[in-house]
Amino acid sequence: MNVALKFTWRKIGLVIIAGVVVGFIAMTSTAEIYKNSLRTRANTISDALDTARVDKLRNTPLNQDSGDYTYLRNKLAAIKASNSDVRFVYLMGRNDNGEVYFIADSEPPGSESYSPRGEPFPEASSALKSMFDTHTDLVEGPLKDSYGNWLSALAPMVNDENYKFVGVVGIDVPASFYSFLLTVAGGVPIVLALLTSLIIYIVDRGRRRRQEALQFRAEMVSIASHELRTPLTGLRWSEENLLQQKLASKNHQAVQDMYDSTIRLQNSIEDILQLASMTTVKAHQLNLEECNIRTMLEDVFAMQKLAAERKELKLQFAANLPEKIIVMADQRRLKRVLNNLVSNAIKYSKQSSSVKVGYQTNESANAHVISIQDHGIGIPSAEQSKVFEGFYRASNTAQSQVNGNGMGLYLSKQMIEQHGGMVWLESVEGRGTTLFVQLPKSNKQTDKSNK
Amino acid sequence: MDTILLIDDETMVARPMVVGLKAAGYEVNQVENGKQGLEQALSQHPKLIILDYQMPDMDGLTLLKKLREDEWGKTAQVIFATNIYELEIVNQAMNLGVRDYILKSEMNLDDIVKLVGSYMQA
Repeated sequence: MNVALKFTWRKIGLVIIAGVVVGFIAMTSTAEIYKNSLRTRANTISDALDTARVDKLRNTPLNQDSGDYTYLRNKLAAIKASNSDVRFVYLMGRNDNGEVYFIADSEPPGSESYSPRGEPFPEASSALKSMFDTHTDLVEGPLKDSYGNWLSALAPMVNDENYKFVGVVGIDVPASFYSFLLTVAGGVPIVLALLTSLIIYIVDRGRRRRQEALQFRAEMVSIASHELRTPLTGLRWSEENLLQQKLASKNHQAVQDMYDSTIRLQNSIEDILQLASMTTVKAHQLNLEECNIRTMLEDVFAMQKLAAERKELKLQFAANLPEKIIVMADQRRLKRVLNNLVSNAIKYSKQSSSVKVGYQTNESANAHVISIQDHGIGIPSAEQSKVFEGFYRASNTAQSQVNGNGMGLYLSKQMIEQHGGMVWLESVEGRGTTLFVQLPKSNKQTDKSNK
Repeated sequence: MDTILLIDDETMVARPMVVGLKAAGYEVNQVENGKQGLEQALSQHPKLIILDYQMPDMDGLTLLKKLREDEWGKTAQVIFATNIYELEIVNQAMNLGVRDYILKSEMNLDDIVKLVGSYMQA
């Protein structure tokens, strides 16, 4: 059980790590995409500007009044107006001293945010400064100043007439949308991972509790089996002993009634115990693995050897029984079923006869068919369909002196069906019964020589 | 005379078996725990041992392993008689060379007497 809990934590750990990794990747790629879109916008603005006039303005002394400045300033203001998220649009140059300065910006003259023509911009980053040498574009940020957090996208401007580099055009946008995008991109996977972890935890806890309950029940059934069978066996044997003695007929009848009642009680208890132990097994609990039915049958024969010898029975494999009959099955449970079926065949066999295990394939169902043939009392034809129902014993078993509870075939059928298989039988009363078990072939079926 | 040693802690089951076997003419000793069972087996060399699995001091398989370590015990005839049917236990008992494995709840006393008879003749 602790192992199961350990696995739950391991799963949750993996999910959270996956969430963090995915979140990180989503954040970095979202940042990349957003910054690229800003870069494109800066370049588009650069393309739209009359860069020849910028060049002209740049080379005009500061104290000379030029129509170019007003023209460009109005142009930048118009660009700002048509890009609602843009806070500033500005043109920058670099003077001979290596200082970055404003050529023009989009702000109204006199306003607090206005930078007059020629005003130096000492806060320029080294990446911004290097643009004047590399002539490539740049996205910076988020950066912080007195106006809040923002991102800057800057593109080089080239004079349309002589293709000379004239400066850079920049746009500043608030970082709030960028931060929001990153929070969503990174947060969603992490939140999903946490939710998934919670679901895993709840589902696993439920499963663990069910398992514990089933395990507890299986143990209770096992204890009850022993505790109920033991006194009943003592009771029954004592009654048998009494019946062996010469009792007055009145007493004999009383003991006989006691004995019959005990048998009846024991059969009912066996039925209930088997039903209880069966309902503790659900299909989803089958521990499926690849197994070889041939090996199981060999084990079953070994286990039943003594029982067969008691009746001088021969246990045989048909010559065509493949060495490998591979199925996906719960080894322990399927073996129990096979053991039960072979044990049944032995129980109902006539002295000194034989029990034979045969094989064929059902091509259309892609399945193995195992047959278990006995030469026993058989099952009356009218009852053949009923023996697979619980609590049913064929009418001719009463004289057969065989103890049974009528649940064996029912349980075997349930288990085989849980494995995706089928069970049926052919029987002639007084001649014997052949029981067929069909199980789907494993996909990994290796032995094709024995079809 | 050849004797049978019955090692079973459940008196309510062991006693009727003893009565049944005695009525059939066999001499039977019953002991109620594994330790005594092993001691008696090794000192008295019964012809047949009927051994229960679930006992408080020592389970039947452990007793059987110890018995097989003894020179005489190596080949002693043992019938394993229990009320549980676990393939694992059946396999182990078979590997330790038991002559038979019976589920007490499935057997009539009559069947047991017949079974015992087949091993007592041998």
